[in-house]
Amino acid sequence: MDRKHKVSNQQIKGLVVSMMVGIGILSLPSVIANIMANDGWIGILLGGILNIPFIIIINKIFQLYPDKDFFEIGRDVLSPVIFNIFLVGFLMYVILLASYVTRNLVEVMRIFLLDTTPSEIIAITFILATSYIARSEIDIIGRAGYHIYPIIIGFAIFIIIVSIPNADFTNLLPVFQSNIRLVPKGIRVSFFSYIGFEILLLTIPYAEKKEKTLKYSLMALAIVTLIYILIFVMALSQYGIHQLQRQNWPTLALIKEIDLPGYFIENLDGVVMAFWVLVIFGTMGPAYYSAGKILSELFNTKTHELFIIPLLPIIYIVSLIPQNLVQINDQMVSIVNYFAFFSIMIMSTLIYIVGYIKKRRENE
Amino acid sequence: MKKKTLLLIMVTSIIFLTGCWDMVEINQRIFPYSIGVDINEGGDEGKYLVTISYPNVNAIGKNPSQEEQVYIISTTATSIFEGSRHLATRVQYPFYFKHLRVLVLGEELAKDEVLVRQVMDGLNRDFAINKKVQVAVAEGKAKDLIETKTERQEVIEGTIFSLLINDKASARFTSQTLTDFIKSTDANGVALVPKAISKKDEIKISGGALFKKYKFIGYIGELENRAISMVKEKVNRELVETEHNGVTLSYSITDLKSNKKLITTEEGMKIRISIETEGALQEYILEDRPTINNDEILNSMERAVEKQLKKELEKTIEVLQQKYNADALGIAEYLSKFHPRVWREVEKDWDTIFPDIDFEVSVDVKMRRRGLVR
Repeated sequence: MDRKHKVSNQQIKGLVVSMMVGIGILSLPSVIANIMANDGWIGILLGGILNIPFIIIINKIFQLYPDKDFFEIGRDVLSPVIFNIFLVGFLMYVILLASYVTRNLVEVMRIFLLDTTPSEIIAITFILATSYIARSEIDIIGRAGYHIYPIIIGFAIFIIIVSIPNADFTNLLPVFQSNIRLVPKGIRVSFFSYIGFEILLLTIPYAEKKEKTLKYSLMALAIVTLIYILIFVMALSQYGIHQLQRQNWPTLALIKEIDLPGYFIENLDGVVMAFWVLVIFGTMGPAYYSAGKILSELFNTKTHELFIIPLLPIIYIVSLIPQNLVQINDQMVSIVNYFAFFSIMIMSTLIYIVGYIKKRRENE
Repeated sequence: MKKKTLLLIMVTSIIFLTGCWDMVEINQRIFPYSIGVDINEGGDEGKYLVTISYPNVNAIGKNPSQEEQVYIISTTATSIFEGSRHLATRVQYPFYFKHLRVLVLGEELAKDEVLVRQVMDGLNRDFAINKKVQVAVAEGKAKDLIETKTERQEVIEGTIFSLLINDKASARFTSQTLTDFIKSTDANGVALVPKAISKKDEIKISGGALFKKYKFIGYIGELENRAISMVKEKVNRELVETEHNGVTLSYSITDLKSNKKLITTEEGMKIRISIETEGALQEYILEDRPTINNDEILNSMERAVEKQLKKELEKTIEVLQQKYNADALGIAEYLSKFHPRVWREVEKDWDTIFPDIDFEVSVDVKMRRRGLVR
């Protein structure tokens, strides 16, 4: 394994946060409000808690085999054939994720910022811009995540602060009134809004202090959970439950509700969109990079740079497949989610269990 | 040499890569600030009569090159946006609705639930429109209201808008934005929108128009609007006048708290509305000697104001219950938030239950200050 690239734990935290927060933050409040009404925050919280075991498992894998990277562990533990099948699933997942992110960016851009610019132009320029960072090695990706992290925190804090003056917190009431049978459905939605921590699989082997990565990755999850809950609470107290359920992108539409005295702080959608593009960049970059890395592993090449440009048309074409927003939000999301579950949750759990058993046999 | 060529290519490419894909100069856009929607009687060209007013940029500033400050233009259309497309063929530049400030609904149009719902949906859906658009109902036609040329015209934001946001000094009307309108209807099924009246060269905002499920059902007066604002805690400053010892007493409210409480009795629901106000004596009568120098007189003044307010509140509640059957006080919202179980039982027949609810009003007036003199 190549050891010259190093990632610090702070960078891992930033990277995980910037990868998790992306598209989900825009639509999650209304999606969850449509299922669990006023109690959506419970779903968000439970979804976050349910992700903890998987983060622990990913960290444990690398404690079992401290000197190897993810691909070496996978090939050793599962046989190369099985592992390659999982890798193909993983590859499909990251490509789908990248396309989903691109397509969402295009839709949101056309709504809020560039209403007459062709979708194709926005998509291609965005993928091209991210391809630059995707060509870099993991230390650069880590640093990028580390720098996007404060922007995400700033983005969230900004939205929360500007919407406080108009917020009516009684809109949060009544609590604990939703049907208990809807909770699993709510959790299913919120659970997948946290995907993105799979970048840990590629990052932890290069961490400077491995014993502390678990702490930092859980911290990242806690931060994201907190951001999601706060944004949900603000959106709900701003809109009331019915108007929130109507919104497509409540988080961005919140900006349209701002009306602070002194008109200079009005119609801020352009500014916020600019920040949000950076947030999306933080999701897209690592996903694109992972796709390149996996391909380079499958074809056994020295660097992954080769595959970045060939991936561009694939991501572009996949991103243009859905015909409308409903298809993106229903079908594309659930396909991405299935692949995510298969490649992240099942694969890492399997590697951990098999690896654990193998390790114990060796010791005996 | 190689580096220099590269640098030259990079520098020149900046000129061509400025990112102005859909550039529109700011002076080549029209920024409408109010839009009026009426029902189109007679014509077959559409259900709506859309009136748009926009400032003439050339007439603003130190040395205006043109006289006419506000342009008004109207057309018949099948929807607001179709109307703006129609109009776009008659003006030089495209409309840009991001700075739209006021939506005026004509009285006749407001009576048609479907049309109002369509207008609201169009505005709520459109991405350019700021959701803080003020909504008003014109007594008569919206077109006449917008076409009214007032003497003191506000060119930058439009006269109607300036009047509408000026509700801080009085509770005689309550300004309502598009989001407020929708939120209020979601929560209570009722929304209260300011009523605008146009006279020869004057526009007046007074009282409100009640909408029930997006259908206009009737006007309420200024005092009724004040009573509703009090219950909803939307009063910033207000002056109450009452008789006291044969003299008119003016009391200015500076602070107001309102509370609703549900009391379930055997006969049915009872809502207790308690209002506490703090304020100062504004005007009484100049006596030869100091008169307002003991607790008794202050107390009796407070009682007089309380009586007056209580009378107003009870009258308003009766009007809302019996005449309009419209829950403008936010009782439904209160129940659904604080008593969800009760609300679930009554939700379906709220329309039949609301007129029979027993209200108990209590007002507590505090006169903290008495001005500069005794």
